[in-house]
Amino acid sequence: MTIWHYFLRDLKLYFRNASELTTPLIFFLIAIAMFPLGVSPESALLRPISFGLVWVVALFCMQFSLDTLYRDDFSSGALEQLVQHEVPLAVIAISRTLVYWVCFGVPIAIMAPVLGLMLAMESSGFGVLSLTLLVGTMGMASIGAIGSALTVSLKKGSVVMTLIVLPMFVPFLIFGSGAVNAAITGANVSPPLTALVGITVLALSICPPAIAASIKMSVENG
Amino acid sequence: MAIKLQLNNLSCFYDDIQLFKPVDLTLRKGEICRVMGPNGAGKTTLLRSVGGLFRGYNGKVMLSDEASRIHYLGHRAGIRDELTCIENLQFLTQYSLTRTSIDSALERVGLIGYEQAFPDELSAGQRRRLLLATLFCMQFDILLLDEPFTALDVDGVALIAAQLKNIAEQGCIVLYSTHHADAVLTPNKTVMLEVSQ
Repeated sequence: MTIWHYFLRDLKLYFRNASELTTPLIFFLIAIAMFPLGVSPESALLRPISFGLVWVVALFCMQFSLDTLYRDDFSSGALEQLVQHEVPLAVIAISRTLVYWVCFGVPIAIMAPVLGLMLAMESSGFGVLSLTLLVGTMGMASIGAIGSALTVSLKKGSVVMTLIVLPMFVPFLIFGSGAVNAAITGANVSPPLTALVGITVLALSICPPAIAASIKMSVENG
Repeated sequence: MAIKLQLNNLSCFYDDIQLFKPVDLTLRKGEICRVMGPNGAGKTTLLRSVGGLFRGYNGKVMLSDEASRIHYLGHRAGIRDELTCIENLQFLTQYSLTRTSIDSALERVGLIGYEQAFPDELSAGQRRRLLLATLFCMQFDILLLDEPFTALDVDGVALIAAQLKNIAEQGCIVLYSTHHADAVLTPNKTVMLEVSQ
């Protein structure tokens, strides 16, 4: 199956470019580790804000790493080739977003409970924290990919991208941290979790054609 | 002989600045055309416009058959240093070829033995050969090449020129840009771009 070839290609590109893969994840780890040092090591102070901090840092980690999603393919001319390929660009965009999620979203979701522990987070929220990040990072990756594709040909693209993408991450942050809060306080997790899944499914369904159109526009203006 | 590609009064613009004076060109099946002009005249932009990769132009690009397989190969052309030669070639040929066909194409361009090498281990000429290996294993109706002979040695130029002739003889239109009036390949037509004042 052709799309599998594109998926493997993108996966190889990330795994053979170690710094691009590890830098955002190290940033995630270090940024969380700095909060007890900068705010207070007191559990009582950190516990109520722990899951929110993990979610906010995860969001910024996604934002920084999304900037590189199409950059090297654009500068090497590979995007120009992709536009000419017979496989629809939207399908290739889905593959790239999926690879990005596997490389960043999944590790963030796995690391989150450990980092939550560093912030004295209630253990009852660990499962939901991982689950919401697993779902939320997929949705954020889809939306961020539009910004990345749209700004890849611009000289100050990362600044523009931040302005475009960050506001659109806010619903993921609200529903994601809301679900974790509900799990910790014993409230019903379903409403915020359902809303998070809903906006992620919506993002997954509407983003691929938008990413494809953005790539085409960037190539034509590049 | 049916007209296949026609450029009518084509001129390209970057930020409202016209790059070259309008071009008229008609190419029929099996013809080779060379695009020449000074640096910055817009040779690459003209080729990208024909390939549908640049929209900032006035005039018309007309194809007699909308289903024509157009392929543009620029000088960057998508080679990634993180992928091996064989992986790059598989990508460039849209994963449509068998390993045997790709090995054969690499052999034709003198890169046999470099299958698992990474492009940053190759010389500029070898990188160029890797890119041009696609010419030996893909089918096109219209082929657009941006400075195909750059960085190639004498043998490489002769090899690629012979392949371009071969591709044209099979009915493909070949449009390529160059800085030199290459003696090794005699095109049917030459477009000389004049920088617009």
